[in-house]
Parts: sequence; C-alpha cells; structure tokens
Amino acid sequence: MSTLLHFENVSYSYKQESKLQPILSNVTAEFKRGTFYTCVGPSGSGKTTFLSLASALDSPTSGQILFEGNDIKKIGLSTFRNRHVSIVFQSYNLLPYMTALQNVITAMEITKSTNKNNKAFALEMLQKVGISEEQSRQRVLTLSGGQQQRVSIARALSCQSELILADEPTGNLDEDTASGIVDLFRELAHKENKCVIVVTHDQGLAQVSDTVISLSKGGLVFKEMRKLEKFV
Amino acid sequence: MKMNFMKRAFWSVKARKGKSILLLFVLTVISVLVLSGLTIQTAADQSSILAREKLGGEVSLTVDREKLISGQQNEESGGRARFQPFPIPFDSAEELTDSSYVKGYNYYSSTSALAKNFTAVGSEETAEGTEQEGFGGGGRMMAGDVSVEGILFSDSTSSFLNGDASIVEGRHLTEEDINKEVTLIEKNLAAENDLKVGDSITIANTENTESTLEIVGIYESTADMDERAQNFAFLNPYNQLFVPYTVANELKGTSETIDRAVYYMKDPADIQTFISNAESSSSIDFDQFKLDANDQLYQQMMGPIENVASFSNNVVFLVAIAGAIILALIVMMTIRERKYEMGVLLAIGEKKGKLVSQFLVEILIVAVLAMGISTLSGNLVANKMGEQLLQQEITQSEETANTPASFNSRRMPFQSSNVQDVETVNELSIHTTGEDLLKLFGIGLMVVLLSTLIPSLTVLRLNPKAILTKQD
Repeated sequence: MSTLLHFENVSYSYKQESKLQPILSNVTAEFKRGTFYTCVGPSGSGKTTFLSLASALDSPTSGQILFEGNDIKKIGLSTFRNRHVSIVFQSYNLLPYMTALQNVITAMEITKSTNKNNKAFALEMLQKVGISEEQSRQRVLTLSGGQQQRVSIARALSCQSELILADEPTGNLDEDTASGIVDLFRELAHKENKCVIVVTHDQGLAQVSDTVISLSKGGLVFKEMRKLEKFV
Repeated sequence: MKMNFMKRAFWSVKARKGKSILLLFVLTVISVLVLSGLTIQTAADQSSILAREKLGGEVSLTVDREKLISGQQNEESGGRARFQPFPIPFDSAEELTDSSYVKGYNYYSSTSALAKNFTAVGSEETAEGTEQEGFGGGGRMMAGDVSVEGILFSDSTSSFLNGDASIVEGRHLTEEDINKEVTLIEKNLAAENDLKVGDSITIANTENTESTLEIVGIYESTADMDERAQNFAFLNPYNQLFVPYTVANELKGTSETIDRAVYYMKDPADIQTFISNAESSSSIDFDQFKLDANDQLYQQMMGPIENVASFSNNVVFLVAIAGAIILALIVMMTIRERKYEMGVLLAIGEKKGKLVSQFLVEILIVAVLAMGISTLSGNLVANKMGEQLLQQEITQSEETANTPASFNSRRMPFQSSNVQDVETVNELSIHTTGEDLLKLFGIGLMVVLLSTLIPSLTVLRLNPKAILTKQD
C-alpha cells in the first residue's frame, strides 16, 4: 500500500504566557492508502493538533507534511483542503442557514467532487449515514446532535477525498448508528483505498481499526493490531 | 467557473429574512433619496436649458465693473474711487468668434454726439447741443443730442431682436459697412428733419470732430420713452443713430476697441461650456472683463430652481456617503457574526475571494430589489419632494423681492437696471428618466462595492482553525 501522507520531523508548539509550549516534537510518520487509523490519547496529548496539521488547518512549527510526496505548503493549504482531504469535525461545523442536503451539496461544489451538483449522490450519502430524505430537507439546526453528526459525516464522504479525517465522529451517536458509521469508514479504507484517520476516545472503535496511533508526550506510537511500531 | 457562492448567497438571503428585510429597507431609502435627487437635478437642468432658450442664449463680453471698482478702491485706499472706463480690445472680442458654439456675434461701441445739420427730436436748440444739469453732484456738463450706437450688424442688436425697432425703409447695417460713414436713423427724427434714405447728416463730438453720415436705412422705434429724455435728448429713443462701430470709435477718439461684444450661441445649453472654454483658453483678461450670460435675469428666473437643484445635489452626495457608511457598518457586523460560517467554508477549502464575492452577491440581490422599488416609487417621491422644496424656495425669494427698493443701495443716475420683468420659473417637470436610473444603478453599485469590499478585507486575514477553535 502506497504512502499518502507523510509527517517528516514535524514539531508544533504554541505560545503560552510568552513561552513556547511544545505539543509535538520531531514526529515522523507515514499514513498509507487503504488503511483505517484510529488516534487515541489522553486529553491535551495533541490529538486535535495532529488532526489540524494533517488537514492543513494549521502549519507545523518545523518539519514538513508531504502528500503523495509533495509538501502541502507548496500544494497550498487551501487547495490541499479543497482537493485532497475531508474533515468530520467534533462540533459538526455545519452551515446553520442551510438544510442538510444544501450542506452536503455546498461541500461537493466547493471541493473537486466528481459528483458535484449531483443531488442524487448527496441524498445517497445522507441515506447511507441514516438521514432520511425528509430530514435532509430540514434546516440542520432542527436536527438532533446525532443527526447533525451524521450530516457532517455525509458531507465528508460526499467529497470523495483520498484522505478522510474525523474528530470523535461517533461521540454523539447511538451504538447501532455508530457501528454503521465505523463499518462505513472501514469500507472506505478497504474497498475504496482511502486513508481514514479517526481521533477517538472510544476503545471499541480503536479495536476495529487497522492501526491505532497512540499519542503521548509529544510523540506518536503506532500500534498495529498485531504488531507494535514506534515512530518518535 | 464554479458559481456555488452565488447559490450560497441566495440561500443566505432567503434564510436570513429579518436581516434581508432590514437591509432592503435601508437600501430602498438610500435608493429613493438618491433617485429623487437625481430626478430633481435632471428636471432643474432641463428648466435651466429652457430658461436659457427663453433668454436667447446670448453671452456678452463686457467690462467687469465690480472687479474694476473694487480694484481701484484698493489702489486708492482711503481715497474716493473713480471708475475709469476700460474699452475691450477688438482682438480679444474677435478671438471668441471662432468658437464652435457661436452662431453669430455683434460688437457695440456707444457714445453721444451733437446734431450739426439737423434737429434732435425734443431738443430746443440745434447745432450747439444742450447745456444741461448732469450727474456728478450738480455740476454743468455738455450732453449730446443724439445717442450713437456703434454696431457690427444692426439686425442683431437687442432693439431689433426684441421688436422695439424695425426697418421701415432702406437696409440694415452689416460688417461690410465697417469703416464707412453710414447710419440708420429713426422714423420720427427723419420726419422732423425731412430726411430720407440717401440723405446725409452731420454729427460731432464735444471736440467738434465732425462725421457726415449717409442715411442707408430708416427704422421705427416702439421703445418706451425714458422719463429723463425730457432733460436729455440723447435718451429719447427717436434720437438713436445706428452706425458702424468704427464711426462711434472715431467720435470717441479710440480705435481697435469696443464697449461690448455679444455672442449668440447655437444652443443655449452650451453657454456654460462656452464661458468655461473662453476663461481657460482665451487671452482675454478676466480680471478686467467678464462674460455675462444674462446672469441676473437668469438668476431671477431660475434662482429657486437652482437652489432646489443644489439642495438635491447635496442630498445625492450626502445620502450616497451616509448610505455607504451605514451599509459598511451593517456588512462589518454581518461579517463579525458570520465568522463561524466563514471558518467552516474555509476549512472545507473555499477560497477567500469567493467568500467576499458571496457577501457582495448577497448585498447586490437586496440592492437590485431596492432599486426596483425605488424605480417604481422614485418618480412620486421626487415630485413631492421637488414641489415642496420649490414652493419653499419661491416663498423665500418672494419675501426677498418684497423688500422695498429704498432698503437697497443707491443707484447712480443713468445706471440702467438690467433686471427686467421675467417670471420666476415656479414649476418643475419632474420625470424619472433612463439616464437617472442609470446614474442610480451606477451610484448604487459604487456604494455596494465600497461598503462590502472594504469591511470584507478582514476576511482575507482569517484563519479557519482560529475561527473554529474560538467558536468551539
């Protein structure tokens, strides 16, 4: 399986009371196509920072992040987000004045989705995550938290990016729906050869992933379900 | 080209009904006021052209007495100012005749003269002139028997143009008569002295320089008799001789100068352009001379309308600026409120330029609606506004006009009043024209562009992670 995303000596720190507080230090790691990763770790360990860097919402203090061998800074952070990555945010981040369907279509139109303007495809994605046609025509604010989470997932899926990043995507879902979503992520990785990275506290979800990445004290520990590798 | 931002703009306007209606209200008020101002201005411009047409579209090159008197007062600080006449160099007057706006022109050089071999109408003495009390504080002076109006073309003098005089025998004087000793005399003068076309008369100046003039035409005057004509024969319209201006100059002892030049415009609407061009590109000294387009009469007719036009001009200007500021504030507040939305869109990969375009389209959608409403209602509002403003101005100008003459400064004897009985234009034909609407759309577009683009510049500094983190 080929490498899609490569962290090369990536460090990240933020300023706190005029002191630099390191979050990640010299991380080198590879993420491959066709693999479903889960990222676990205690609060404050840098999971969200890791996701922000991987999704080009932020830039590393030092080091490089390569996508298919190209520095994402050279690709352009906005272009990278637009063309190569889909994000499922913990707080959904849906556009409140739009319906569920409009949210999905908007994302498809902004990104290079091959199905852009395809309302039927958007509806199909919404139905895949358990949103009915009637619900898809409702304003997102009238939907429950779980339903909004599913719309957020459908939005990410509809963009058909090679890299899918999700921050606690099953946190607000009931067990059955969560299980369905996890199956969907696995399917995307294994059948559609995508690289899926999910940040979670859910040990059950971590158990069914191909590789668990453990974050602690500025480092990443990759734990393959049968083999442990350390990249620090 | 992806136009998804337009779709988003439409969804946003539809979903945010309250804010859209508020914006529509603000934009409609701005549009209606701007359109009313523009419509009133257009109506005032049209009235101005009509007034100019009514006044004949003529521009006079004359001595600027006010400037000269104030200049001389400054020079003789403390002393009593005396007005020194300044003749206009012939070359200066000639310069403006080439203008493409001019269809005709005339030159004037006036003086008075003594009748040598004929009797002026109403004059008791002949040949020697009349020694009468003149102006200047009770002194004695020699006044002429006849007034000599030196001209280039007699048919375009004001007396013939306004119907106060008409040829009854012979012909008019033309530029071909320049340097010839010819004249036009009045019918009564001719009758009293038994003169006819082909006869000659002799006139002289105070230094007894004589001119013998052949009568080439006789005209009839219907001009009102000046009361002072009883004392001064030369003020009697029957005693007015039209001669080539060269003859008048000879009597005055001057050459290559005139007192006044009058230019007739092809189109009265071009008067201001003609004056501006002359002031900027001719060699005429406008510290001494001025181009006067019957301004006093024009002001009398158009004063109230000009004030209304000026007011409406200010309204357009102020409303456009105030509107742009109000809109900019609304857009600024909207951007602040919608940072989260922008963060989401940027996180998905939307370009910042398209976010700005979305805001612009949102405002434009509302602006187009507002302009539509103002197009329908602008005419009515402009009519009401225009009428009310004009009536106020007319009432004010009537109050000023009712001021007794004794309240005004004293006028010198013989100083003629140019203020004639012209009626103040008290109606404006207010109709919204296509040009007004185009101007409204132009101003509207400028206001929308400025008020949206300037506050939207903050969007360019936005970082999606920072926005979304703060939102969380």
